[in-house]
Amino acid sequence: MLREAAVVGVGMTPITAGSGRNLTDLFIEAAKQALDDSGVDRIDALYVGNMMSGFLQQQEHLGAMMATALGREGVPAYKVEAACASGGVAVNAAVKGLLSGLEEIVLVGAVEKMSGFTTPEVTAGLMMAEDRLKVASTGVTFVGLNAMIAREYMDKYKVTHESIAQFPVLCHQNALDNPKAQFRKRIDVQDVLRSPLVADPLRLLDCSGIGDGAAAIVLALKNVAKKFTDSPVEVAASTVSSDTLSLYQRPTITTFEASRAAANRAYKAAKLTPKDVDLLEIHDAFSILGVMALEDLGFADKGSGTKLLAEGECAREGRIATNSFGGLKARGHPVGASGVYQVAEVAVQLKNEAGKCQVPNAEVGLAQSVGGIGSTVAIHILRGMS
Amino acid sequence: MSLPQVTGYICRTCGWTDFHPVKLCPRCNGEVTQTILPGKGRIVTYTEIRYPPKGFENQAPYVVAIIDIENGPRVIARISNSIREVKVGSMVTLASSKESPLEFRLST
Repeated sequence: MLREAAVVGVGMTPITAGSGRNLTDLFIEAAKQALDDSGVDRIDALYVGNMMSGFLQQQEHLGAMMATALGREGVPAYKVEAACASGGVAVNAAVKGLLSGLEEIVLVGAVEKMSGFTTPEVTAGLMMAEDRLKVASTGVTFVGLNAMIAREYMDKYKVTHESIAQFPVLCHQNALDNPKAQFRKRIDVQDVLRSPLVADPLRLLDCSGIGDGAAAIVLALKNVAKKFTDSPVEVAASTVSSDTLSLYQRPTITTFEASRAAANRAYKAAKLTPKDVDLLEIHDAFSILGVMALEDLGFADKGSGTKLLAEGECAREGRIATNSFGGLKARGHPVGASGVYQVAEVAVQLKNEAGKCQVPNAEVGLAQSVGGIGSTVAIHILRGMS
Repeated sequence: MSLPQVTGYICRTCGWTDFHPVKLCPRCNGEVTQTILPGKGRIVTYTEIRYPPKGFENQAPYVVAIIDIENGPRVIARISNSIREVKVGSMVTLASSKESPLEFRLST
């Protein structure tokens, strides 16, 4: 019989800036929540997603470090890094561990601590996801790279900043109902357009913030999962694609080919199409990326992603509920951890345990985790089994 | 006075080109040779960095652009002009002999 993986437990810390909490403290809170939620009595391996612990905390070797902190030293333990997609790629590595048959129950956790540093320090840390010699040497930032995409997108498709600003507005609206979200404040399109310019044309409210957080999930082979839960959530597909490391190396910058490729492989593996997907958690580190993701994942034609927003289709009651817990913009974006938050949130939705954030009648959900400037993309499609 | 030039790398087999120094072509594994490209190009897209990374604090604000080099590869570079003067499609000329980062200014 073909092996299949399922989510059997999830844990998430609130996302805050200036918590004073350290990496281990954050990680253990999320991991213990996930283990308690699942009821498993053992794990066969530990996968830890993180991007910047080496640069910011001068701490590496998080695999053994977190295994020790959990009292699980002895298990195979890995740190997985793929910039802002570290969390999504860690989930993919864990799924592969299960599907290989070598492991039956695994814990995937991801953590990032970004507060306590100056904005130039964090900005320099994030630039480690791009080419140091040719790109970071210009002084460009990740906001700047996304700003260059936004300018070309608006110019090419004649889309206004007002239209794109609907994305952060939606995320802030959804985060009002999420007690773990970092930014629980309603905003409107004019607030986005009046916020300070960060990298022309992108403004402060087009951008995700700086925060600390950790998320974890317990995954098990489906036949094992049934021992622990009546409502496991099936991992119908787990894919990763890569693209050139640098934005300038691509002929087209208004599409992330890695997103399209990973999504197409995921739809094929799950035997599904975008029409079957009820909810999305997408990587809106910047407003423009949210709009592009709607297109690259197959929900809108190129240049028309903002129409879905204008028609209310991305709201929780809409055809394709998007970032129902607030997304990277408003739930928060502790970079290496975001990909695990997304998969955990999709699982919570499909178990019908999302409380005020609940999307009605959701059966299939997709999470998109983007590393660097679209250089790595991880896609997970989950399906409720109850 | 000699015209400023960009050092580029081009694959003799398939024509792949970049301004990164590489020995073998990542597309076809063919031999890559160094070539001199005209220090002229066209702005594809650009931005102005107002919140710079550590090490660039004293330079902000500054303009960064993606540029298509004439008959050459796409590059990322600094633009020495103010953002108010820069447009998509503006023609630019190499403004410095430094290889990293490349710096261009609007052509006159």
